Order: sequence, then structure tokens, then C-alpha cells
Amino acid sequence: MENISASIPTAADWFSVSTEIALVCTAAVLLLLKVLLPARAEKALNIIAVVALCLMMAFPLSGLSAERGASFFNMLFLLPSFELFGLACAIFTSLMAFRYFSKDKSLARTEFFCVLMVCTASMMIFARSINLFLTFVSLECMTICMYILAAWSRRSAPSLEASVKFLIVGGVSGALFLMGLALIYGAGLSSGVDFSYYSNFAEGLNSSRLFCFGLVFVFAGLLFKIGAFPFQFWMPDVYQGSPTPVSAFLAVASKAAAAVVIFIMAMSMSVNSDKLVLALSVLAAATIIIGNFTALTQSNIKRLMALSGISNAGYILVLAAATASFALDPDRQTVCFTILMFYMVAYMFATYGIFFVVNSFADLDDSHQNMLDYCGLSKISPAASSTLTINLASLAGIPPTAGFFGKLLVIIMAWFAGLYWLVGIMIIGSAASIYYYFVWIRTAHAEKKGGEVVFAGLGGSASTVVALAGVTLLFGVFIFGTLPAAF
Amino acid sequence: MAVLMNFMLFCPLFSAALILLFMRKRPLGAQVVSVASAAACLAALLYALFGAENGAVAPFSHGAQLFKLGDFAFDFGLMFDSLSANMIFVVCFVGFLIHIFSVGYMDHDDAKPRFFGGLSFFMFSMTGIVFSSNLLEMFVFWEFVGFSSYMLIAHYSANEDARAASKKAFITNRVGDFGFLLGIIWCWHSLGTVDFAEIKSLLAADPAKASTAMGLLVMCGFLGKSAQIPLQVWLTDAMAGPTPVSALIHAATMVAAGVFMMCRLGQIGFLTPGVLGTALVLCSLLAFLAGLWALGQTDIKKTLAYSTLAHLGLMGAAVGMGLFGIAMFHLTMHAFFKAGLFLVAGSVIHACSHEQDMFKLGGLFKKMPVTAVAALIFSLSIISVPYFAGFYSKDAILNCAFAENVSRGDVLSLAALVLIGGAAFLTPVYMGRFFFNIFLGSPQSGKASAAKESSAWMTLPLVVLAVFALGGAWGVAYGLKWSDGLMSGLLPSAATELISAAYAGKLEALKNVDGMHTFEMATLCMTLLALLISWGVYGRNKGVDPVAKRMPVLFGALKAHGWFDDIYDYYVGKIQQRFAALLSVLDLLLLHNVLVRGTAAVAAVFGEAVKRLHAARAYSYTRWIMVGIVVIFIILIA
Amino acid sequence: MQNFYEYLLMASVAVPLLCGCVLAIFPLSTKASRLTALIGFIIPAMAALFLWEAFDKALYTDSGFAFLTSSIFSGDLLPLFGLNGLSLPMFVLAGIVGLAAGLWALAQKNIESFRMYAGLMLIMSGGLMGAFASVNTLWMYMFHEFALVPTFIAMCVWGGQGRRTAAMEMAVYLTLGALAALVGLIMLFINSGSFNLIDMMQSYAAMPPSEAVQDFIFPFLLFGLGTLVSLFPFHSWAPRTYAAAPTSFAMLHAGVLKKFGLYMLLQVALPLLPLAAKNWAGVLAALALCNVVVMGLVTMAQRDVKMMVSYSSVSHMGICFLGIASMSVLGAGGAVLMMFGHGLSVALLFMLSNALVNRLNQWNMQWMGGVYSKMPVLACFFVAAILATIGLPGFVNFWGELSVLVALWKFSPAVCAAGALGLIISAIYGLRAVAWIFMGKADRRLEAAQPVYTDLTWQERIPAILLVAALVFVGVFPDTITSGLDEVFGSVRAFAVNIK
Repeated sequence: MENISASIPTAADWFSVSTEIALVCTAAVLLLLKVLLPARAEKALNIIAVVALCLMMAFPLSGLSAERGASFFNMLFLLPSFELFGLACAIFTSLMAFRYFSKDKSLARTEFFCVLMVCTASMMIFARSINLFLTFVSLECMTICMYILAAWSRRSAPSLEASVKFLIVGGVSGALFLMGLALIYGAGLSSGVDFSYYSNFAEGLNSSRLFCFGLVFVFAGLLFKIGAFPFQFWMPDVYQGSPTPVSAFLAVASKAAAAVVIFIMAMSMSVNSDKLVLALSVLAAATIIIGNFTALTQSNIKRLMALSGISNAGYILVLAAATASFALDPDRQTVCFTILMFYMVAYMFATYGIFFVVNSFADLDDSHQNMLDYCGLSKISPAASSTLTINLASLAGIPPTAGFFGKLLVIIMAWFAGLYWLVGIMIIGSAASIYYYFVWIRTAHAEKKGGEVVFAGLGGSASTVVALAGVTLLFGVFIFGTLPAAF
Repeated sequence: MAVLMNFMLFCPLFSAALILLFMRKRPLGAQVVSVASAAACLAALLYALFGAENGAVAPFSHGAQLFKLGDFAFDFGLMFDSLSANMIFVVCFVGFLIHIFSVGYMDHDDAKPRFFGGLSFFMFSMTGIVFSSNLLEMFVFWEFVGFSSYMLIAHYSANEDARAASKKAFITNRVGDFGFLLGIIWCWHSLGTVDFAEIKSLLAADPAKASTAMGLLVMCGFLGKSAQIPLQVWLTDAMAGPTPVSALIHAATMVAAGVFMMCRLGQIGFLTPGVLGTALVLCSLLAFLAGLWALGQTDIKKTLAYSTLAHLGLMGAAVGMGLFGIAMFHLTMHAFFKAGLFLVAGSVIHACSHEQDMFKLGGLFKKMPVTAVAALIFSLSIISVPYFAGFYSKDAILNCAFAENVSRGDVLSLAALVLIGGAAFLTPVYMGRFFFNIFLGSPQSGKASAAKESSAWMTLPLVVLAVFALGGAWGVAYGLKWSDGLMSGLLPSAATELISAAYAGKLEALKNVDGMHTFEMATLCMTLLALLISWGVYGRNKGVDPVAKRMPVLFGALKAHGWFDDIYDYYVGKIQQRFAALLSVLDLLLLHNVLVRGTAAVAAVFGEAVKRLHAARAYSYTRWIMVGIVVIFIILIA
Repeated sequence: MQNFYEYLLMASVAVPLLCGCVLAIFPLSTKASRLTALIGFIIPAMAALFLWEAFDKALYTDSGFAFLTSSIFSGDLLPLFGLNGLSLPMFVLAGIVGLAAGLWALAQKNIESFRMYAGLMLIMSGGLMGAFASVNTLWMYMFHEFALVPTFIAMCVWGGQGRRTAAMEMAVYLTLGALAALVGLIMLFINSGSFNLIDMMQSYAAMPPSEAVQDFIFPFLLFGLGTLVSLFPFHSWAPRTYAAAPTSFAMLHAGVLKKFGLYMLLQVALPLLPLAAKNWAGVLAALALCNVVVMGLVTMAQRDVKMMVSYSSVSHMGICFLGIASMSVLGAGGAVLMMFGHGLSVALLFMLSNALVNRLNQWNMQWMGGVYSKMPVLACFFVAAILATIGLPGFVNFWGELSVLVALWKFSPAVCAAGALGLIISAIYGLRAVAWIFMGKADRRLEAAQPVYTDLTWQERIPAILLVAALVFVGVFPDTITSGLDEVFGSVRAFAVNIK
């Protein structure tokens, strides 16, 4: 693997990071304009921010950053699909933010978009880096931005409590990641090979025990981000406390980024990975069981979404375990990666669809939103209840929604990898998940009026919600239809 | 010939469909169509028997394959030989007369279309049984007949005992059909075919193939349909239906279908000696018991129902002795006088505005002369007074039982002889009781005194049947040289070949059985003696059953007809119902609540426990992280 | 001309789905929505009948499927439609029962927000048509799952008493069963490399998996699909669901959806895993016997009309399973006939029992009486349906039961005798229900419930006539179905070779 040789970055290097640079620059410009322009112009600034985000979609789409940032930024490699994913999450979150800010005029608006852009940029770098140091730096930058976003609604106690808890636990796991990094680097020094590059992980794994020790700590940091079993306790509180757009962003974007990094690491472990497979599958099983069964009796909506996120993290870990076990044929590993992206995209559409509906309730940060508030939703707004039904069906894995195809592909991959008992646990988990998703559908279609929080209509976001539901329904069918049966 | 048979089969079905679909509101039209179809069938039959086809009762059959799956095929064939000629004659002739009768009987009934539609449907299914060329097709029509009797018994759907009787009839028939179906399936698997002709050729070649168990299973169909010992409870309750129904279905034709089936199978060698022996015992036992139980009934139709049971037992005994010809002969004669007796009961009930208790009537001889005379002829025929139709067929069975006992000499045939003799002895007793209380003495109730002769619609069939009950057997017995020739002066002695040649031959052989003459004289005296006893006990009609008055315990025992009903009701009500309720509760409780909802509750409790963990303080989360790392270590390193 | 049939087949699946979505999304006026609903119900039925008539073995490609839509659009994982002797009767059944349920819904005046009700029904019936018409096993499974969410929502909104728990029970239980079946399907897919049934057949015939592998895959399919068809230990969801579901959904679910599990066993599991099917036949026969006898007795203990009908449908499924367990062409053919007949008769029974309970607003049979004199037409149809269910000749059910029992004798006479007990048990609860409800005098407790004695209106009679006509037509001419079955079970190599 060529080390840092060329000192001057060529044009190709700049293009490969063009999206991130554009994001950070727009954030800076927006902040400046916020200071210079009078208060009246704030609304226009927000709209500019969203339009900028949409325009930035052009960079990955046009393939501008197609060339490998080979020389200067040898720490990065090409992942255009993830950039698209990151930008899409950012756009959806900002659309949701408009509705969120209309509820409480006193909150700062433009700064939210700036912090969001910086967070997305760091997330993209985090996902693309091939060197542990760069991963750590971008991880920390991303997590800190999320602390700020989580604490956005200053006056509401749950939001502050959420961000403090997030800070403590995030800080601990960041420290663990750093310690792991240090150990790995130490192991590398003695054997003269720079283990911080993923590609060298294979040698590291079977050569030095210190490397394994370090690797565990690194994995702990990542598993915290994705929400695997021992590290997922912070999620329900943070999701409940933080504003709805932020919890949506947390649920989808940060989980996806962490998942991608875990996958890249798993793919680079080529040799004697049966122990790693065992570890990952045990964690996956525990996460599925905990995620699904805790949600059975959960009535608070945002905590329920957190728990459903945890169970989906479990399914992703099953896929990760399967990838790790395909150490010998890399083309099957790339197929697993495409399945991961397919699964995350399906998960994104469904979760954002639901959070848009959650966001359109009158309560400020929806932390006390209860299942009963959804009683009779089908009478009040049929569009909201039918899209909610479709999205919940997708999370539950009912055909023809995209979620079903995601789960189907995960099960096929797990079966190829020989993890039969894990598939059994997945079946039990998804059967249990049917219960709490369908209780939600049932209350939405019940006729008597329930809870105290009033549903304030979808308003502007109606079109996006319907679009999301439509995509969830048809996305799986078309993509799955054309996917070559390369298994 | 095929055209005629198809016409005879599908004409009633077409008329039933026409009535039930289009004439629900036009009772007159329904009557016309139904009677016309019965008449047409009779005409077609007579043409087939005696018309241009010169009566050659040539065995004829043709079939169409209706259903083929794998190597199993069901073909719908029609078959016509002397046996079915005899049976179809009874069905069409008696059926036609009863159609005429029911026009008069049902004159002020409000559901006439449904009744006549049901009657036509019954004629279709009965003809189907007679013409069917294989066991499976016979089973299909067997079920149709069961359904039509269910529908007709439930004609007065408003009253309670019709509701219970129709259900009881169908279910008891279903129990019989259960065994019948298993027998057919066994036959298909062991012999490879269910077609009578093929079975006949197969068994002719190798008689050992017909197994007794298979025969017994098929006999279940006979026991169910002809109401023999274990399954005879439904026939007496079936009297809840209108009287023409009782006459046609529960006296003449449907109940006889079982005997017809046994004769059909017997002729092709399907029934092994073991099966015949069981039939002999069961049927002769029922013949005797039914006679006794008849004495315990006060309702007219119930008495006649028990007498039908007795005579079916006699026919079954004849089949049990292997005398298929004689069984069919008695079936024919029985159809005439029993249908006649039921029509008499019908016209009496109709005249006395639905009074069915014998002891409330009396003195109807003067008020209803035609019905009374017909009743007298039928009673004498059933008692088997010489020269009457009943004598030739019933005494033939008696003589054969005696011959059987002489030839076989074992306990079985002795018991059969004694039971059949007892049945023959009891018939005059209850028939005398029937006749004396209804027609002689003085009317015991207002309704009886207000009775007047029924309309022509009802009396005409009575007269025709009376003629046949009197002279029916002459045409047959004419060619018959009575056993020892001595009595030929008393009787015309020539037989024709209408009934099977075997029948005439069988009676020829009776002559040289020693002691036969004395046995005949004895039976004649016994009949007279029974008649005298009946006059002595029941002669002077005083409005109440003398046996009930003097010996209530005996009367109670007789009335309870062997406690079969009570045993069955106890089983259904207590054992079966309780067991079903237990299973239902078990299914609900154990399987559903404990297993299904139990696991759900366990999952919820586990979920609740873990949920509580999530709501703790921040530092407990970090503790969990440490635990997590240690766990991963253990897995990775160990 | 050849392509016309393929387009017709695709239309019969696409049209109901399209009408369903149109009704669900666009707020149409009641008149417009009724018209769309009518179109959505009539076209698949007409298409099904037309294809039935046009179907004959000559159209078979060598793959054993007629009307293959591979010429129109083909992608390994895109839906591929085609009919063979086995899927044709089920396809026709789905069309007829769908039409009957639709006409019944159109005839009801008291369904509030009819648009949503008809939309959900159309999506469900479109899914059913697709399930029976598709050759691709994954799509077969997916079309079947279309029915889960609409039934769930319909039960929650329009269901009878106890609907909320019943809906949830059904959702969780059926998904568990469906997922087990899905895992079985995936294993089949992995062994053969494609979901397309034709390729699977060829690859399994060329290189059949070892007996151990087959024995490992078959239980997943058996117990997964068994749960969908309420096989004995997994039946506890069925009675409450059908009793609580609204009429049309109960008709579609009990009448057609329930048969999908059996259809898939016959179409996919038996031909591909013949050795395992033979090994598991004993277990299947034992469970099916429990279905027939135990559930038959439980049906006898029921006093609620709808529960009695639901439990009777569970017990009759036992006979179909016995047909499959008998491992012979005759038994499997009998099972298909039984599925066809039972689908029609149980749909008719649910329709009428719902009409009865709504009019008398009394569910306990023992407290009814004398209904015949007041509602003769309803009584006649009900008696016809009961007679069809208990297996009177002249209806399809009789041929089904007969063939299954004849096939069972070769399997084992004792099992055949126990199976034949079902004849008596069904006669007992069937006729007892008729006696309680229609005969005798009206019970005083019935008067207390202020019944409304209005007989079936003409719109309500049409679906009933349709179902009875179908029952009688195939009952008198069973070879319209059996000729195709002979072809399918005879020609399928694995089936014919191993099991005779």
C-alpha cells in the first residue's frame, strides 16, 4: 500500500473530496451571512441552505469525485453511494427542521443547518477513510456535532438531559476508540508495519495479540455508534429527548456510517476470522432479542423508534457476521456491501416517513408522544395513517415493501454463511416486531379518540411523506427485480 | 332400452328441479307436474316390461365415465335385470299410487310445492339405486335417498319432533353409510373394481376373494338404511313426517333398498356365509322384538312402523338364509299391503282431523266403509291368511326357515326358526288390536264420530292396493305346486317366471322335507289362535289399552322398545357432548391461552424487565459498556 | 392469439390491484367507487373462467405450465405468471369467491367508508389471484402476504366482537408461519439457484438433494404452511379470526387464502422433496387426523354460528392434509377437489351466517328457531351450503372426500376409517345447526333480541347463486378439474416416480 509519497495534492485529490469541501464552505458562508444580514432574512437563509444541499447532490451524481484521491488523501477511497445517502439524510432532516422550528419561534434556525452540514461532511469522511487515525478524527467531529444538535431546544429539560447522557457515553466510547487506536499503532511499531491502515489488518490479526486487544476497543467504539447490545442503552433516552429531526438523523445517518465502517473492517479481515464471526453473531443475536422484546411493551413513540432502530442494527450485524465469514471470496463480500446499502436505503425511507408523521404533532419535541395520541388518525388524516401503515409494514418486513426485500437478502446471505441459528433468532425477532408495529397500525385505525397531544396535520410535508411511502412500496420491487441473481 | 331407463331416471329429477326452482308459488302446478312425472315413469316401465320389448328382461347395461383420477375411475352406468325389474316395478307402481293419494291428503297444506318437489327427488334417487351398475354409484344415490327422506320428514318444520326426527334419521343413515363406504373402498382395493358384473365374474372364478369383514362393512349400509338392530331407532321417529311419506319411504321403497342391495350382492356371490349368518341372527331377532314392541304403542303410525321393522327383519332373515328370490317376493308383497295400511291410517287421520291415537277412534266401519274394507283386506294379508298375498310370501319364509333348521340342525337355524315363528305369531295380535280398536266398537272421541269417508283421490289408491294385496300373489303362486300337492285343491298350482326361476325351484325342493306338511298345518292353527287371543284381549274397544290398564309394568317395558333410544340418547347427550365440550375447553385453555398467549406473556415480561434497565442513569450505561468489552474479549480470545 | 391469454392472465392479477390502489388513494364519490369496485371484482372472475375454458393440455410448453408470460417480460426475479392443472382450479376459485365477496360487499348498505373497505378487499383479491398464477415461488409467497395487512386493518375497523385481539393474534401467528415457510423456500432456492419453479423442477430432477437435506428442508415448509392452513397444533388463530373478521374478508380468507398453504405444499414441496414427503407422511397423517376428529368434536361443542363454521373449516382442512399424506395421485387430486369445494362452501356459509347474525342480532344457535318460515331463501341457501360441507354427492366436496378416503386405504386402513369418521361428525354438527336455527318454533330468547326478519335481497342472492352454481356444476362434472390434475401429478417426474 503506497504511503504518503506525493506532497502536493493534484486536481484528482481535490475532486475526490469536493462534496465535503462544498458542505463546509456553504456552512461557513451561511454563518457569515447570518451575522451580516438583518434578522428578517433568516427565513431566506434557511431556504438557501436546503437548496445548496440539493445542488451538492450533483457532485457524487456527476461522478466528479470518481477519480481516486490516490496520492494526497491516501486516507480516503471512493464511496459515491454513501455520499448520496448522507446528503439525502441531511435534506430530509432539514425539511423536517422547518416544521420543527415553526413550533418554537425562539430557537436559532440557520445555525442548525450549518451544524448539520458540518456533521454530514465529517460523517462522509468517517465512512470513507481507510486509516484509523482519520476515522477517529471524523468520528469525534461527527459525534460532537450530534451533541450540539441533540441539545438544540434549550428550554426543554428532556433535550438537555438527552444531550448530557449522549455526551457522557459518547465521550467514553470515543476514549475507548482512541485507546484501541493507540494499542494498534503500538503493535504496528514493533512489527514495522503501519497497522492503522485497514489493508494491513489481516497481517495484524494473526501476528500480534496486542493488535487484537486494540481491535476490540475500536470495535467497541463503533458498536456504540450503531447501537449493538451492550452499548445501546443510551439510545432510547437520547432519541426521546432530542428534537425529532435530530433523532431521525441519528437513527439513520449515524447508524449507516458506523455500519459502513464496520463492514469495511470486516471485509479487510481476510484470514482466520471465525472468532470474529462468532463474536459478531453473538452480539447480533443479543441485539435482535433485546431490541425486539423491549419494544413489545413500549408505548412512548420515540423510544419505540429507538428500540426498532436497535433491532435493525441487530439485522445489520447479522449481515456483518456473514460478510466476515466470506473471508475467502471477495466478490461475495461486495455483494454483501450492496445488500447493506440496499437495506440502509430501505430503512431510511421507512424511518423518515414515520418521523415526518411523528414530527407533525403539536408537542414541541414530541418526547411525551404516546401510542394513544394516534387513536383515530385514519379519520383525521387518511394520508398520514396510510403512509404510516406502509412504512411500518416496511420496517416489519411485509412484502412488497422494500424492508421485506432487505430482510430476505440478509436471511439469504446468513444462510449462505451457514449461520442457521442466527436466522432462527431473526425469525423470532421479526415475529415479535410484528406485534409492536401492528399495535401502532391498530391504534391508528381505531375509531375512539385517545391521548392529549393533538395531531396538527401534515401541512407542507404531505407531499414528501406520500413520496416516501410510494418509494418504500415500489423501490424494493424494481431494484430487486433487476438485481442479478449473483448469489 | 337405454332411452327408457334414462327417461325413467331423469324425469323425476327434472320435475323436482322444475317444481323447486320455478313453481314455489304455484301448488297446483307442482302437483300436476309431480303426478305426471310419476305416471310417465310407470308407463315407461310397463312399456319396457310388457310392451314392444316383449318383456325379455334381458340384462342390459351401459355406462359413461364421470370422474378419473390416477387409477381410480367412477363411471355412471345403468343396469337392468330381473332383480331390478322387480324392484323398479314396486317403486314406480306404489310411488304412483301414493302420489295420487298425497294429492288428496295434502289438500289444505301450505307447503305443497316443497312436498311434491321432495317426492319427485325421492323417486329420482330411488330409481337411481335400482338402476345403478356399481357399488359406488349406489352409494351416491344412497346418500340422495337419505337426504330426500331427511327433507320430507322435516316437512312440518315447525313442530318439534319432526325437527328431531329428521336430524336423527339422517345421522343414523350416515352412521350406516360410514361402514358402507369403508366396505366399498376395501372392495375397490381388494378386487380392483366396484362394478357388479366384473365382481360377479371375479368371484365366480375365485370365490375365496370375497372376505367376511368386507361383507360385514357393506352390510352396515343395509343395517342403516333398512333400520336393522343397532340402527333401527330412526324409523319409528320418522313417523313425524306426513303419512304419504311414511307410506312411500318408510314402508315400501326406501327401507326396502337395503334388502335390494343385499340381494344384488348375494346374487353375485359377494356375501360370504359368515355375513349371511350374522344377517339371519340380527334380522330374525329384530323381527320378533319389533312384534313385541308394536303392542306397546298407542299411535297408529308407530304401530305400523314397528310392523314394518318386523317384516324387514323377516326379509333380512330370508336373505340370511340365502333365499334372495323369496326375500324380493316378500318385499313386493309387503310393499302392497304395508303401503296400503299406511294409506288407510292416512285417510283415517285425515278424516278424524289428525287424531293419531288408536284408542280415541273406533266404530269407523260404518262411517268409512271403503277404507274399512281395504283395511280388512290388508290386515288379513299381513296376518298371512291363505289366498291373500301375504300368505304366499310370509309363509314361504317360515317354511324355508323350517327347512333350513331341518337341513342344518344347528342352534343358529333353530333360534332363527323360533324367532321367525314368534314374529309370525305376534303379527295377528297387534294387527287385530289395530283393526278392532279403529274400525269396530263405538267411537271413543268427538273427532272419531265426526269422521266421514275420504275423497276419491284417497280411496282410489286404497282400492287398487287392496286388489293387489288380495290377488297380488296369485299371478305368481298360480304356477306354484304347493309343497305336498295335497293342498293343491285349495290353491291354484302354477308358477310364472316373473319372479326368478330359483324361487320356484326352491319351493319345489321344500316338498320332500319330512314333516313339512305338519309344520304348515301348525302355522295355520297358530295364526288362528293368535287372532282369537287378540280378539279376547283387545276385542271390546273401551278407549284404553287393556294391557296398559291391567299390567302397566309390562306395557311400560313394551313401550320403551328395548331402551335403545334411551341408551343412544344417554351416549349422545352425556358422553359425546361432554367429551366434545371438554375438548373445546381444553383446546381453548391449554393450546390457546397457555401455549400461545403464554409465550406472548413471557416475552412481554422479559421485555418489561429489560425496558426498566434502559431508564437508568448515565453512569450505569458506561458500566454496561465495560461489561460488553469484557464479553467480546472472552469470545475473541478464548 | 397466443399472447392474448398471457395478457389476460396478467390483467386478472393487475386489474384488482390497480382498482384497489385507485380506491385507496383517490377520494372518489360513492357511485364512482362502487363502479371501480365492481370492475375490480368482475374482470378477474371473467378472466379466470375464460382461461379455465381455454385451458387444455395442448397449450403446455414442455415446462408443464400453460399461458407462460415469459415472452412478455422476463427477469429472473420479476413475477412470471403461468397456470398448470393444479393452479388452474385454485385460480378459478380465487376469481369466483372474490367476485362473490365483492358482490356481497356491494349489496350491503351499512358499511361506512365503503371506498376503503373495497380498496382493501381488491388489494387482497389481487394478491390471491397473483399467488395462484405465479410460477416464481418467491412471488407466489409475496402475493400471498399481500393479504395480511388489509385483513388486519379490515378486522380492526369493521370486525365483529373480540376483533382487536383476534387481529393481533392472526398477524403474529401467520407471520411466524409465513417466515418459517420463507426459510424453507430460501433453502429450496439455495439448492437450485433460482426461484423459478420450472428451473427448480429441472435442476432437482437432474440432481435431487440427498435425503438428509430434504428431510431438513421439508419440516420448515410443512409446519410453516401448516400454520397458514391451521394444521392441528397451529390452528388456534383460525376460529377467532374468522368469527371476528368482516364478512367479505372472512370469505376471502377462509375460502381462498387458507388453501394457499396446501397449494404450495402440492405445487412446490411435494414435487421437489418427494423422499422427505414420504418420510414425513406419517406425522402429517397423524396431525391431520387430529384436525378431522378432535377439531370435529370441538366444532360439535360450539354454540356460536360463526365459531361453528370457523371450526368446521379447520376440521375440513384435515381431510385435505390426509389427501396429501396419502402420497398418491388420487389423494393429491382429492385434496385439490376438496380445497375447491370447501373454498366455495365455506365462503357461502360465512356469507349467510353473517347475514343471519346481523338480522337476528343473536349469535347463539340454540336460542334461534323457526327461522325457515320467516326467511325461506336464506334457509335454502344455508341448508345447501351445509349439505355441501358434510359431503352430500352432487357437490364437489363429496368427490374430494371420496378420492381422499379411497387413496388413504392404500396408505393405511385404520387412518382411512378414522378419516371417514369425519363424515359422521360433520353430519352431526351440520344438521344440528340447521335444526336449531331453522326448524321448530322461535325461541323466546330470540324474540328478546328484536330480530329483523328480512329475507335476502336480490343483490344478496346473486353471490349465493353464483357459489351454489359453481359447487353444483363442478360437482356434476368433476372431470373439468380432474383431467388437468391427472396431467400435473402424472407428469411431474418426482411425484410420479417415487409415489404411486
